[in-house]
Amino acid sequence: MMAQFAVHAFAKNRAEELGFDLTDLFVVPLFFDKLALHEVRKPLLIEGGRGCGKTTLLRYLSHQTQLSPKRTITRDNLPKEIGLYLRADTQYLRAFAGDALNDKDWQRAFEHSLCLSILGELLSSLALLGEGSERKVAFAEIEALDLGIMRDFDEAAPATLSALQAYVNRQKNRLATWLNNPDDEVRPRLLPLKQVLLATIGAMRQQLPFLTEHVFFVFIDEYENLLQYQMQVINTLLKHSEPPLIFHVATKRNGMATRATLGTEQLQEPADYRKFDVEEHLAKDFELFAAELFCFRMDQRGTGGGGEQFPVSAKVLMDPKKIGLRRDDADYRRRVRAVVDRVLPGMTTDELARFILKDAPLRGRLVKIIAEGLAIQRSTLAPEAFLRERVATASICCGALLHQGKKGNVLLEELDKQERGEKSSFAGDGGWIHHYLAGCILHLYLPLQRPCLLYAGFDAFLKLSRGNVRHFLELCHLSMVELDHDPKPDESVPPEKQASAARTASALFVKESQGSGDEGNRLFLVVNTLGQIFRFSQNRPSQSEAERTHFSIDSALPRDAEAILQECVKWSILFVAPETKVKDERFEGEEYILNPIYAPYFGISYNKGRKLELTTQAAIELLTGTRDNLDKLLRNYKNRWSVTDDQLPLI
Amino acid sequence: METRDERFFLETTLRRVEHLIRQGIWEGIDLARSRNWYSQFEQRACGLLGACLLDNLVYRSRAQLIALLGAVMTSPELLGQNDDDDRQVVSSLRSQRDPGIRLAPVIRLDQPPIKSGMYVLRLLAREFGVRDRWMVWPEALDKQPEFHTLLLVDDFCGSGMQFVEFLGTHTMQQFFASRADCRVIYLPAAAHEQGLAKIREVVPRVQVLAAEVLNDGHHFFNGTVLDQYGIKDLKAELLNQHETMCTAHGIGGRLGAFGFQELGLTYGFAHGTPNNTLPILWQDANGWTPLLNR
Amino acid sequence: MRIRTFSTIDAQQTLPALQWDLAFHGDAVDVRGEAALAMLKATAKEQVPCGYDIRGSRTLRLNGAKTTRKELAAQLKPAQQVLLEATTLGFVELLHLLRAAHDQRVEGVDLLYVEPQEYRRVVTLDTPGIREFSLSASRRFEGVQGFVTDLSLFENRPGRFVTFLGYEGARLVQAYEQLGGLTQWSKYAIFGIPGYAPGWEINALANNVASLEKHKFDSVQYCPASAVSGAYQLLESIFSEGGGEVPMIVAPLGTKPHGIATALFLIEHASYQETSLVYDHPERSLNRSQQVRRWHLYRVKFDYR
Repeated sequence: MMAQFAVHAFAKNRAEELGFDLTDLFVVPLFFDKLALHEVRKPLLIEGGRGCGKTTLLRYLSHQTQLSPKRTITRDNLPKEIGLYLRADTQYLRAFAGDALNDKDWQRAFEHSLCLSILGELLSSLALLGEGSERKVAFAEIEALDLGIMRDFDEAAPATLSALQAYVNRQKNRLATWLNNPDDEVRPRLLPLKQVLLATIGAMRQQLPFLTEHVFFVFIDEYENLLQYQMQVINTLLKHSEPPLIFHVATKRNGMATRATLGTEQLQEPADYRKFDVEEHLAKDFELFAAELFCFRMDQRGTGGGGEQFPVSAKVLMDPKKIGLRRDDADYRRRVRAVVDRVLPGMTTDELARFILKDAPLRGRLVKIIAEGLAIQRSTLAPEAFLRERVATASICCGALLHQGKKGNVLLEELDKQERGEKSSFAGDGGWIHHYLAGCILHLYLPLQRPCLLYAGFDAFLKLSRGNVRHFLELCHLSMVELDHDPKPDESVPPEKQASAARTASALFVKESQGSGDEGNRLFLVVNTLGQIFRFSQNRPSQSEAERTHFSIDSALPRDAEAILQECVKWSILFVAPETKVKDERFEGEEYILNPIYAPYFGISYNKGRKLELTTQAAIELLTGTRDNLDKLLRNYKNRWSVTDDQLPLI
Repeated sequence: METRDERFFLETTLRRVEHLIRQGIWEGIDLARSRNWYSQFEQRACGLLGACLLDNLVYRSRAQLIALLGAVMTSPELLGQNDDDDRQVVSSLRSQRDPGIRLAPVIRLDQPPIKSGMYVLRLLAREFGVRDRWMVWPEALDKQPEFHTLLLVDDFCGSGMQFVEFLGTHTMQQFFASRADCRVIYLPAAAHEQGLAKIREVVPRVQVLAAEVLNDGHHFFNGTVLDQYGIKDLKAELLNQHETMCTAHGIGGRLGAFGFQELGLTYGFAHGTPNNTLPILWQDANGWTPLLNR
Repeated sequence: MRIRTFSTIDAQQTLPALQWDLAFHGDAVDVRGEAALAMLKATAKEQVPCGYDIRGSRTLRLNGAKTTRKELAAQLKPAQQVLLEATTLGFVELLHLLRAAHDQRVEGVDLLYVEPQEYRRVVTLDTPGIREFSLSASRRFEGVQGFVTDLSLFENRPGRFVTFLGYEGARLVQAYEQLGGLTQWSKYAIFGIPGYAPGWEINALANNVASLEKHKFDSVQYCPASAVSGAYQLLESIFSEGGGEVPMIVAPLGTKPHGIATALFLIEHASYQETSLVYDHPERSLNRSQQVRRWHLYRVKFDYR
C-alpha cells in the first residue's frame, strides 16, 4: 500500500496536532510584521476565532519553537523575546470556585497555579537553551545556575534547575491535592506570582549575562474560558506589564468579558494594551497565504518536484524577514496561485454549463424543468429547442426564466441573439446569466447524489473557507483523501473529487458547531434550520431570489434572541455585513451571512446572493424557538415556496 | 413526497453508514457492498426505502454480540440468591472444578453443522474463558454426571419454533425425563417476544434469558419504527417501494417478503442474519446483492 | 470489588425485600424518582436528601446543609446498611457518597436505579440532517471538587481517554472543544449495547460516530446500558492494558449505571495520578413523563486490602 504523503500533508490542521516545536512546519503569516513584537513592549490582546491560526502563531512564538534543538542558537542570535505559552486548563481552573475557600483564597490559589505554570515554562526554556553538546558550551552558565532565590518564598525549594522543575510539578500536585480536601490537607505555600517570577528572572539575568537584555513574553491562550475573577487577575498583570515580564492574552472575538482589574482602574485600550485582530489581518492576503500554505505542505511531504513545481522556497516562507518579498511581488503571487490552480482546478461556468448539457441525468433534469415551465405557459414549444451547446450558460438559465413567466418565444429569440454574438438579455453585467446561472446550476444538482461541481477549485475553496486557515486545510486534506493517491507532477484532483471533499468537510463543520460555546446546541440548530431554509429557496425552479445565503431582520430583537445572534457571530456561524439597501428611515439593521463553509452540505451557494428578509417573529423562532417552532418555521417556508412560486418578472 | 427533503435524509444516512463501517461499529459489513446494495434501490427510485432500512438497522458486530453474551451470562436470574458477584457463573465456568453447569448448543445432529449455537459457544470459550469441558453436545448430555443447570446457547430466538422442535427431539426428551431436577435455561443473545411466548406456552419448564428482546413494535412496517419520522403517509410509500423492489428482484420466495413468521425485523449479526429479518436485507438469490450475510 | 445486580423484568418492583439503615437520595423530578422515593420510605430507617450545587457553592449538601468531606464520612459507619438512590442522585453526589463509604471502610453499599421507559425520539424528514434536538445550554466541563486534576501534569505522559457515550452527541463535541490536548491520547468510546430497548442505541451511535471518526478514536467498545459490573470490568480491562502505568481519564457521558461504574473505578484507583475525571455537569432532564421500565439494585462490596 502506497504511503499517502499528500493525505498526511494536510491532515494536521489543528494546533494541538502539530505539537509545540513548529520549526520547519510554520509558514509565517503575511501579517507577522504587523505584530511588531520586537519594537513594542505593550501587551497584546490577540483576537481570533477557531481556525484562524492564533494558537499556532503563539506556539511559534514560544520557546519550544524558538529554541528548538533543530536550530543553532548562539549568544548572538538568541531571540530577544522568549515566549512562554500557557493554555488555560479550563476544567481545572473553573473548579477554583465555590464555598470550599473564600474569595481571597481562591484568588491566591489561582495566582499560585498560574505562577507554577509560568515558572515551569520559564525553567523549561532555560533547560532547552542549555541542552545538547553545542549549547552546553555556548551557554555554559546554565548548568551552574543557582536559583536559591526561591527559598525566599519557600524554604523547601531546591536551587538547581532540574530540581526546581521537579519541584514545580510536585507543587502543582500538592495544590490539586489540597483543593480536593482543603479541610484536612496541609495548605501549600501559595506563591505570589509577580514577585516570584521577577525574582527568578532577576537571578537568572544576574548569572546568565546573555539574558540581560532579553524579555519574557507570557502568552495566555483561551483567556475567554476563565472565570471572571481570574480574568481580573490577568487584567492586572496586563495593566502592569513591563520588561522583563510582559503578558499577552489570546481569546476568541469578544472574549474579554471584563476590563476590570483587581484594583480600581480598568484596562484601557490603547493605553494598556494593543488589540490585534488575526482574522482581519489574515483576510487581507488570504489568497496568497493559502496558496503558499498549500505549496508548502505539498512540497514538505515530497510530493512536489522541488523548486520547479512549487515556486516557493520553504526557507523563504519560514523566514519572518522575507515577508516583504512575498507580499509585494505580483509576479510571485501569480506563479504561486497558478500552481494551486493546477492541482485544484475548478471549472469555469462555461465549462460547467457544457458539461451539464452532456451529462444525461443533469440534462434530463434541465429538460424536465423547462418542460414544466412551458406547460405552465401552455406553450407547445419543445424543451430541446432551448438547449444550445454553443450558448450553454444561457440554456441553463432558461428553466428558471420560464418559471418566472418569461415567454418561451422571447427566450428563444434571445438565445438566437446570444448565439449570433449580438447583445441579448442574457449577456453582460445585470444580464440573466449574471443573475441566475449559479443558482440554476445548484438547482439542477440539488436532488442528485453527486455534489455540485461549483464547489470545486481553488477559488471555490477560498470562498468556502473565507479566511479560515483550518477550513481551507481541511478542504485540501479531504481532496487528497478523495484522490486516494499522491498526485503526480502534473496531476490535478478531479473537480468531482474536490466537490465531494467540500461536502464532507462541510458536514464535518456543521457537526462541529455543536461545540460552539455555551449555546452550542442552539447554534447547531440555527445552522441546520437556516441552511435548510436556504435550501428550500434554492429548490425553487424560478430562482427569482437566486442564491439566498443571507438574511436581515426587520426590527430589533428581544434580549435573549439578540444574545444568541451575537453568539452566532462570535463563533462564526454567521458573518455580519452592513445592510446594503436601507429602506426608509426605519430600523437599520445588519445583514447576516451564513458561513459559506456550510454551503456544500446544504447544496446552496457560497456567494452573497439575494437576501431573505426575516420578520422579527421568524427570527425569534429561529434563534430561540422550541422544536415545534422550528418545525413550523420550516414547513411555512417550504409551503410558501413550493405552492406560490414567484411569477414576478426580473427587476 | 418531496424529493428535496429525501435527498438530504438519504445523504446523511449514507454518510453515517460510512462512518459506522469505518469505525468498526458495523464491522462485518463491507463498504463497497453496502453501496451496491443501496444503489439497487436508487436505480428504481426507491432510495427512501433503502435509507429508512439503513436508518433502522440493528446490526450486531462480533464485538457487540460479545457484549450481549456478557449481559446474558451475568444475568441476575442465573445467579444464586447468595452469590455476591455478577461474574459468579462465568468464574465458575472458567474453573477446573465442576461448576455443576453445562452448556450445549441448540443444534440437532441431523442438521448441517453450521448452526450459530456452535459459534456462540466458541465465543464464550474464547472471550469469556469458559472451559470447553463444560460444553457438551446435546447427545452427550446423558453421559454427564449430575449437574444442576443446563444452559442452551444460541444467537437468536425468533418464532421459537426451532427451539421447540429441538426440545422435541428424542435426545432432549430423554434428558428432561432423566434429569427432572436440572434447571434448563435457554440463552439466546437476542429474542423476539413471540418466541418467548411460544416457549412459555409449550415448554414452561424452560426459562429463557435474552440480552435484548424485540417485539411487534420492531416490525419495520407495521410496528412503531416509522413513527419516529412523523410523516403521515410514509408507511404506505415504503410498502409501495418494498413491493416494487421485491417484485422486480424476486425477493421473498417461500418465506415471503416480510421474513419468517412475518416478523419484519431489521436485525442482524455479523456472523449471520435471522430469517425473521426482512429478506431484502439478506437474500442472496436472483441476482440481488444483499447487505447482510445469511 | 464485587458487584451483584438484581433486576426486575418489568415495571413491577420485585426486588429482594431488603431493609436499610440509611438511604441517600435526591429530588424526584419524574415518575421514576417518585417511585424510587416511595420505596425508600418503606425500606429505609433514615432518609437523607443529598445534593450538589454546581452553580454556586460547589459543595455537597445533606439535608440542605453544606457538608464537608469529614462530616460526610462521619455519617457512615462500617456496619451500616447503606442505600444510594441513584435515580434521583446525580453523578457527583454518587461519587462523593461512594468515596465516603470507601473511606469509612463500609463493607458494602447498595444502589437503586429505576430505568426509564423512553421511546424513540422523533426525527422528521424536514430537518433530516439532525437526530438531536437538545435545546439545553451546553455545560462546561468543570472539575468535580474533591476530584479535580490538573491536566497539565499529564502533558508528557499521554494516556487513555475513555468516554461513555449516550444520545447527546454534542457532549463529546464540547469535550473536544473545551479540553485541548486530548489529541495525543489514545481514545476509547463505550456505547451502551444492549440499550434499554433494542434499537435505542441507534441514536447514540448516529449522534457520535462522526466525532469518533474525526478525532480518530482508537477503539469502540460496548457493555449493556444498565450494567454497572460490566462497565466497571471494561474500565478495569482498558486500564490494565497499560500495565497500570498509563494514566486514564474517564468521561461518564452515558447512562447513570455507567456513571456509577465510573465512580467506583475512580475510587479504586485514587492513587497518585493514576486516573482522573472530566465531567460536564448536565442539567437534570425535566422529562416528567419518564415512566418506569425496570428496577435495578446493585449491591457493591468493597475489598479492603
